Amino acid sequence: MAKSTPITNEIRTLRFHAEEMTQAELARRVGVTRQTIIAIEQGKYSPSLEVAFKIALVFKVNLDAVFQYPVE
Amino acid sequence: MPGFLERMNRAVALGTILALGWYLIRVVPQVTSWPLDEVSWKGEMVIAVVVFVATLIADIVRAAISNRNELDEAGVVDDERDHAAERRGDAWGGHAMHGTAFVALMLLVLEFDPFWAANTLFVGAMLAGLVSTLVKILTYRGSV
Repeated sequence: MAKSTPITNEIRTLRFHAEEMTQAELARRVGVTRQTIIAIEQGKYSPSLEVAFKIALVFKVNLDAVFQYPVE
Repeated sequence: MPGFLERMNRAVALGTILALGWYLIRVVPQVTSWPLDEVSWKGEMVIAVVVFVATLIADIVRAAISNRNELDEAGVVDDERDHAAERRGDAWGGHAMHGTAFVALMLLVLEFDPFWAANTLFVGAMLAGLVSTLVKILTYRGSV
């Protein structure tokens, strides 16, 4: 069973609001593989800070609009 | 669908299991039945390496062909996730290989038959490679 990261994200929602941007298109614009976007969306992989910022830049939002870390 | 490098790791794991399994099936029964100098293992070891390399080449070609559309889609071959999986797998494989080399060295120092040192190195190297690829696959799946 895959271990999930505690970091949650809104990438799927943001893609939907960005004219239903495909995972492949987001991957191309960020410079990663589509599998990495899938893994990030599913919470199976925590991206580097650089990739996280690149994703936020693609959607023209702040980092915390894309990724959230739960406060206990 | 997994990426090219993830499929490559699966191919390496499959090739290793096939080659090592074939070798062990051929050699282990002989070791348990006959004296060491009558055991036929050098030819089998060469064949196992050839089987491993042939399986690897076939799977690389297959993975590359099936990955062509994926590459066209995003235009990226590998990224930080691949590098993280490589680093983690290589580290585990390295530890296993160090242990193998140490055991083989001890067998030589203690003047065991060269059969044991050679087979420890061969089987250990294959298992270290298998550990490395399995850790990479588990990392891709987000299980490590």
